[in-house]
This record gives sequence, structure tokens and C-alpha cells, in this order.
Amino acid sequence: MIETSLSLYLHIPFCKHRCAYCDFNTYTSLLDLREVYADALVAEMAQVAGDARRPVHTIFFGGGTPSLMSPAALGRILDGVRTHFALAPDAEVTMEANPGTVDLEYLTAVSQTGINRLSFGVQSVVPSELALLEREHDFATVVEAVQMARQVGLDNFNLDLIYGVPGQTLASWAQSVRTVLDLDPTHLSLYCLTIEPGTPMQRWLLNGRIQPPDPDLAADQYELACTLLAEHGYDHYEISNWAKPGRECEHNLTYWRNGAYLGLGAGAHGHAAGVRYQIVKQPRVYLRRLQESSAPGYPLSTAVAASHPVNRTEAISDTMMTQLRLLNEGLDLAAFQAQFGQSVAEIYNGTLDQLVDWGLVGVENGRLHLTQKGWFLSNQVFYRFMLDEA
Amino acid sequence: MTQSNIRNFCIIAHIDHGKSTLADRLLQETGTITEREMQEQVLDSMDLEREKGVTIKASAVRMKYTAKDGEEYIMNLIDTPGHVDFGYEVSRALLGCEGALLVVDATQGIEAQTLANLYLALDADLEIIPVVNKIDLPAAMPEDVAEEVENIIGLPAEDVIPISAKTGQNIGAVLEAIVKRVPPPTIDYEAPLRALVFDSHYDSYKGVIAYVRVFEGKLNKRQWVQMMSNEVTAEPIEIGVFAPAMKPVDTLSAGEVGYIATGLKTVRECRVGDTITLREYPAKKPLPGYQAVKPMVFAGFYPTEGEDYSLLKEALERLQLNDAALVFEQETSDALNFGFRCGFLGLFHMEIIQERLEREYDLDLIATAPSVRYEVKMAHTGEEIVIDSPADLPDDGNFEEIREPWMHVQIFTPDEYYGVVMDLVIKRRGEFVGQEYPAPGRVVLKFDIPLAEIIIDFYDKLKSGTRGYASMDYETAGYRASDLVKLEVLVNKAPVDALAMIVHRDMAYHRGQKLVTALKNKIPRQMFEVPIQAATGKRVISRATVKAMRKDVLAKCYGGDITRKRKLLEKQKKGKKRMKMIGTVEVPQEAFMAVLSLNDD
Ligand SMILES: Nc1nc2c(ncn2[C@@H]2O[C@H](COP(=O)(O)OP(=O)(O)O)[C@@H](O)[C@H]2O)c(=O)[nH]1
Ligand code: SF4
Ligand SMILES: [Mg+2]
Repeated sequence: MIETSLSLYLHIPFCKHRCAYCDFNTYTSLLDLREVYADALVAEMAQVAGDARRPVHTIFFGGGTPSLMSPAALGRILDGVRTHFALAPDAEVTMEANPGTVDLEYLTAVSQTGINRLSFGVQSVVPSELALLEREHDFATVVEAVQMARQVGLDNFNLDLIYGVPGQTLASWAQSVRTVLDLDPTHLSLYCLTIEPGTPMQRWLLNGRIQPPDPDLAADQYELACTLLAEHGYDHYEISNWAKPGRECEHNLTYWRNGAYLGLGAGAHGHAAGVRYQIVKQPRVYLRRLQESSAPGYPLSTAVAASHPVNRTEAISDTMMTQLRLLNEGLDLAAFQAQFGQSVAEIYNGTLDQLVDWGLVGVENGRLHLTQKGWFLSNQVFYRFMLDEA
Repeated sequence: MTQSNIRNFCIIAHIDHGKSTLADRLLQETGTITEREMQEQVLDSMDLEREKGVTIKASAVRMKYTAKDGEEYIMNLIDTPGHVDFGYEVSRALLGCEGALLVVDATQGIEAQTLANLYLALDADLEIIPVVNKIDLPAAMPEDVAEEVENIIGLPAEDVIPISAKTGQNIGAVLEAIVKRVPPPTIDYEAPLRALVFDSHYDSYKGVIAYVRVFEGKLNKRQWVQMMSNEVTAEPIEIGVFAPAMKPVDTLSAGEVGYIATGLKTVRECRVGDTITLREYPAKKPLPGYQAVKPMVFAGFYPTEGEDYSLLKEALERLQLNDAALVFEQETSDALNFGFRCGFLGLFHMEIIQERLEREYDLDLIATAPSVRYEVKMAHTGEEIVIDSPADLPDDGNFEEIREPWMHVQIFTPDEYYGVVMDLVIKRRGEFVGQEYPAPGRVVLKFDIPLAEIIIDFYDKLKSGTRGYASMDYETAGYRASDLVKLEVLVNKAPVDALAMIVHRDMAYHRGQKLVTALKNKIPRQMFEVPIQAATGKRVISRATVKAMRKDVLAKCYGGDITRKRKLLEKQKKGKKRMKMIGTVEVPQEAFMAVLSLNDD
């Protein structure tokens, strides 16, 4: 595949407190490392990029809690990007932020670094649900954070919500959705809670403190959200993502188009130059590994934990499961055939018929896409498209 | 060495009372094996045996012991299987001995198997040496247990030897008691050879190795032998004794315990309980009591992957080399394709075989629920047929009579659980036969009960209902006619032969209800709604529905971690692969054992 322009994912592995459902690569006792970590990110860019100054059109600060970084640190990182890459003037630069961590002064400084999009982890507006998730903010804080963001010109922002939370009802979910719609975000991400091994929540589930979420209720919640957001003019462009027209998250589109992105920072993942890789997870190890000389060469740094070239089988599986997540765009059948030398129908003959028969996928204008029923059952589609390794 | 210096004995005990531990101590005390050679519990040599803590096959070991009288004795210890499924094997092993150590746990007292084994030992006319074990434990009550032995078994309390097999305390007294109290074998060297086969195993170089106790006559290593039940003859490749490893000798004489490597190809030709004699100088009559063991419990074994069929066949054949009680024949199921209907001595035997197939042969199996063998008299022709598989039962009205195997069961329990046990037994169609109070606070309840009712979940229920205190023993009680019907299960409207069961008419509705509910919980939601029905004859008596799946979505793509998503999907795909397709419905393997989780309440 021709790599026109790159996306950069920058991982910030620090949080003040670990939320009850969180299994992300984040650490609550390493906040002191923040400044050196910022410099390490720049050092890693230098290793990866060499002198090539490849074009970049999106940047995403994910975490963890990126909004725990000082504006100065964020500024140094973005200067690093401008040095080692050709950052497009209209690039989308997103930062995830926890509502409780920002004030007007901070946001003003942030907007001056070049960050032009925010993503707030709201999760719920209901106090009991926030308490169960062990989020450290309340909804009033969210309202304030959003107002301040607008005040400094950061009016392009996403809000995250979680459904399928134990104890959540259809009504309380509707309340969360309606309330955040009043804040008029440009983008919404709605995720179904998965209770991951090792999290406090899983422990509570095992010891009976909470009941397992009801999958049918989650389906109702999702359905309700689809209706409400459509009524408010949001385009359901990806399984879990909605945007005002023209406000899709460019960075995430890179993932869903199975495009090229570099992952920088502890635990980050990347996909570029036909290689998928992951960076070591532990921030201290990350810092130490970056001291080593002799980087393996683009796209890898000395902090890489694992990498493998993507073979044809894997590339096909990946393309199917990412591209189909884009609900309108779907998968361009001609482009697929051009890239892999075989058509989707040839590779998946029986499977495809079965899925069409069940009403989970359809073809329109030369594109394969999930049907509305398929949105709800996308895993049932995707796993059937996973090819066995030859 | 004269034959009067031979002692042949065995150890009998309820499970966990310390039989294997005591055997280890005896081996150590006599210097048969050194500390260094002592793996834990030498006699339980199969991995599974060790894990389950139950001896599955008999084995033997020869020890030399210099007694206090200055004489050297040869002591043959014959280990007996420790599970009621192998009751017949136990009885054969006991016949090889003149004495038995009866081990009773000083913290538990006498239990069902203690008694069952004791009666077998008394039948075999053995000298009983009672031993109270685990006296090192704080909870030990050796005097009380000795008194129990006196009351229940009728052996004087002062003859009971208190020991700790763990610390070795008083093991010397046990050895002296064997010398003094177990009679030497009576012998006749001149009579034609009669050697009892009390166990056997298959060796790929030497063929079937028969474990024998020679009762009369002599066997020279160059003489041809003959099995008395089937007249199969063999030229021994080797004869020898267990010291404890197999050690070749030139002759085996009356009174001795040893082995004959027959070169035969299957244990079926050389069965436990048979008598070996000389081809040229045969005995007139075999030793008494031979019977070919019959399988009692049946289940279908199917490979999850169809292509493993021939591997499964090979594996069963290999296991059968060593296990005369295992039978199998090819079976086809609409639901599960090609597999085998296998017969076992009991549920425990079945579990052992299943685990060995899965572990030693790395097979992925689907086992159908265990059932028993029914006798059916057909309606018009009067023809008698035998049915191992519930699906084969003719429809209601096409047969005149159906008979099922019954068992005599003894349950030994503290009397506070009297009600619990009665309840359980009555619910399972048991008939009360009688009760005894062998000791204060204890009761032995005797019942007759259909075997089909105890192979499923009975023992676990008994254990949990009595907080682990009850113990049980059983033996066959012949066939009786019953009002039985076939309960069929329909998944998505199609009958699934592998899920059919035979039940008493009065229980059909109840069982059907439980079964469809259990299946509903075991079958994952599919792309479409799946009705599950239970039917007798053509009449549906209960139903449940697996609702169509509505939602299956992966959450957040965390920082572009596509690989993780792909791995999760691959795992999902793999999970699906292990399911069986019944029509278009994906059914997990556990569903075929759903009957096992039916509760009575
Ligand atoms: N404390 C103590 N434990 C014992 C003694 N004899 C056996 N055990 C333990 O009791 C359990 C069952 O013993 P085992 O010999 O396997 O019993 P078997 O089932 O009769 O062969 C094991 O955990 C032994 O370690 C003893 O004299 N004292
Ligand atoms: S803020 Fe996000 S990364 Fe941090 S602990 Fe909570 S869920 Fe995890
Ligand atoms: Mg044992």
C-alpha cells in the first residue's frame, strides 16, 4: 500500500487514579516521570523518523490521561513532531482529557501548542454510575470543562459515554445521551463496557457485588442511542462513533481504513511499512530502552517490544474487520480485488452468502457494508472473515 | 526358603484411609526400596491413579523380612483397586492371599468400603489383621475405633494395631503380625498347575503379563501354559516375581506370587479371575469363581473433529489391550457422526477412560450422557433385544416389556442424615430394604435402586447432602421390568439422537423440563431463535427457547491495537470450531452432558 500521509498516536501512560473497569496501559504512581517522558517521546520520534520528514496529517494524544501533561511538555512534543515530520498545516491534533484535570489557563495554553481537538471521557451523567466506574469527576465538571474549551476556541470536541454498565437502565442511559447532546459536541463515541480480566470490576462480578450486564439491555441502549443521535443530525459513521457532518475523527479513520500510523510511547501500537508493532509497556523500561543505540530503522525504535511483518492473510483479515466498521463507507470491493488479486466473493464464498442470508451484510454501489442488524452483531461477521494462517 | 516362610497378604481400606501410604512404609521398612527410590506411593503408578488417589489396577510386590524369630520371610503384598467399580477385581486379588490388613482411619472410623471389602475378605477366608491408622493426628480416636472394630467386625479390640503410616510408628508390629497371624499358603507341588490371574497388563515386548498367585503345582519357565476358560495356550516368554521390579525366575511354585509373560496379544485372552494351568499336564478344574466382567455403563464417545475418528479407534484399541472390562463398537449418530458406543464397569471407570483418551492421546471428545443396558421384549414377534443406546429404544407401543438393571446399595452414614439419604433414594425410585445400627450414631441403609438412577449425579448428591460423611457400596441385583419411555430432545425442531434418554414414565415430564432448561443455558444464542423441546412418543412435553443473539460488538479500539482485536476474533472463531453443528445450530460439547447436571429439587 502506498503511504501517502501518516497518523501519529502518542501514548501518555499516567493517571491519578485507576478507574474500576480500566485495563489500559496506565500507571498511577509514575507522575514524576511526565517531563522526562515528554522528552523521551521526542527522542523516539528522532529514532523512528531519521531524516525523512514524512508527511503527517493527524496526531492523537491517548492515554492514560494526556491532560495531566503540562502545556510546556505538550508543546515540546509537538515541536518534536514538526522537526521530525512534515506536519500538515490543517492537521487534526486531538488530546484526550479528563474533565476534572483542566482549567481555563491550562486549556488556553494547550490551544496554543497546536492541539485543536479534544476528547473528554464523560462516560455517564449519573452519579451512581460514575461512582461505580470510579471516575473522579461529576457531570457539573464536564459542563464547566466544555464551556472553557469553547471559550478558548476548542469547539471541536468528542464526548465518550459508556453503556452496558451494571445497574444502568434504559432510562438512565437515555438521560446520559440527552444530557450530553445539550452540550452540542461535534463527535460522540459510545462504548459498551467490557469487563476485563484483572480489573476491580471483574472481581466485583465474581464475588457477586455487581450483576453481569444484560446483553439484551445493552442492545436496547445501543438502539436507542442510534435513534436519538440520528434525530440530532449526527452521522453514524463507525460502529461506536457518531459525528456532525464533516467532523469525523480523521485519526480514527486511519485505523478503520487499515492505514499507516506510528505508535509512540509506552505500550503504543503502530502499523507502517507493512509491519505491525508494539512498544514496551512499562514507562521506566521505555525510558531505559530509548537510551540504547542502533535503532532497527523505520518504523521501529529501540523501545519496540514486538513486531511482525503483515502477511497477505493477516492483511486481508485486518482489512475486512477494519473497513467494515465504517458503516457508510464499507469496503470497496474493486479496491480490495486490486490490492489482493482476488475478490471478496472468491475468498469468502460460502461465508458471504450465509452472512447475506442472515441479513448481516449487504452490497451497494460496489461496496460491502454491515446492515443495521449487522451493526449490532459485527463480531459475528468479523470472526467469520478471519482467515486461518496457511 | 521353605513355603512355610511365605506370607501372601493384601491391604483393604476405605478410600483415603491410608492403604497406599502403609504399603510405602512396608516397602521401606523391609528395605525393598530405599528412601531414594521411594517415589511417593509406588504402587499407584499411573499418573491418573496418583491424581485421583485411587488405585485402578491391582499390582503386587515381593518383600523380604527378617522377623524377630530370626527367620527370613517372603511377603507378597497384593494391592487391590480402590473403587467399587472394580469390586470383582478386588475379589480376585483377595483370593490370591491368606491374610488382609484391614486399615481404618482413626479419625473416621469404619465406612462403607471398609465393610464391603471386609465381607469380600471374609468370603475369601482370609485372616484379618485390623489396623487403626493416622494415630499421629490430634483428632485420632484409636480406642473408639478399636471398639467399633470389635462391635461391627467382631475382632477383639486388643488385637487392633494402632499405627501411623505417615510417621512409620508401629510399622514393625504390623510386619510381626503378618508373620504370626497370616497362615502360610497350603501347598501341593505335585498337583497340576493352578495359578489364579488376579491382574494383567499389556507390554509391547512381552505381550500380556499375567499377575498370578500359584495355588498348586509348579511352573517351569520353558513349559507351555493354558488358560482354562478359553483354552488359549501360550509359551511364556518369561516368568518371574515382583521385587518390586519384575525379576525373572526359573520356576514359580505353589504358594508364590509372580508373573507370567504370556506373549498373548490382548488382555481379553487372559482375563482376571481365570486359572492358568499347564498345556501338557492340565488341571481338571479351574479355581472357583471366574466370571467375565460385564460392562454396566455405556456412553457414546465422538471425536470433536471428524478426522480424529481413526485416532480415537486406535486409542481405544490400545487402552483395551490393558483393560478387559472396556468394550466398544462403532456407532453413528445423526448429530455427532462417527464414534463409538463404549461400555464401562461404572461411571468412575468411564471417567478414567475419558481422561486418558484426552490426556494421553490428546483427543478432543464429546461424550454423551452415560446410560445402562436395557433388555427389551418386542411386541409382535416376542423377540428379545438388548439396547445400549437410548436412541435405539423402539417407540412406545412397539415393545411389550422393557427391563433395566437394578443394584443392591448400602449406604453408611451418621444417623442425623437418615432423612436426607432416604429422600434422595426415594426420589430416584429406590426401594428400601433394611437398616442396621452397627455403632451408636451410625446407620447402614440398604436399598435396591435402578442403576440408571445412580450413574447420574447420585454419588455427588449423596456426598453433598451428608457433608461428605456418607459412603456407599453397591453390587448388581439383576434386571427388573419397569415402565420406561424414551425422552427425545429436539433442537430447532430436529430430534438429536445423542441427547435421547430413557426415563421412567412418571418422571418424564420433570426430567424433560430440567433437560430443556439445562440445554437452554448451555447452548449459546445464535443468529436466529432456537426452540428446544423434549418429547415422549410424538408428544412434546416441555420446551424452552434460546433467543436470537442481538448484540455482539467489540468495544473501544484502544490506541490502534488492531492486533488485539484480531486475536479476540480469532479466539471466538476457534471456540466456534469446537462446537458441533446440529443442522444450523452450533452446540457446545458440554451440552451433550447436560443430563448430568439435572437436579432433583
Ligand atoms: N496424618 C496422617 N496422614 C496419613 C496417614 N496415612 C495416610 N495419610 C494421608 O491420608 C491420605 C490418604 O492416604 P492414601 O495412602 O493415599 O490412602 P488410600 O486411598 O487408602 O490409598 C494421604 O493424604 C496421606 O498422606 C497417617 O498415618 N497419618
Ligand atoms: S482515565 Fe482512562 S486510562 Fe486512566 S484509569 Fe480511567 S479509564 Fe483508565
Ligand atoms: Mg491409594
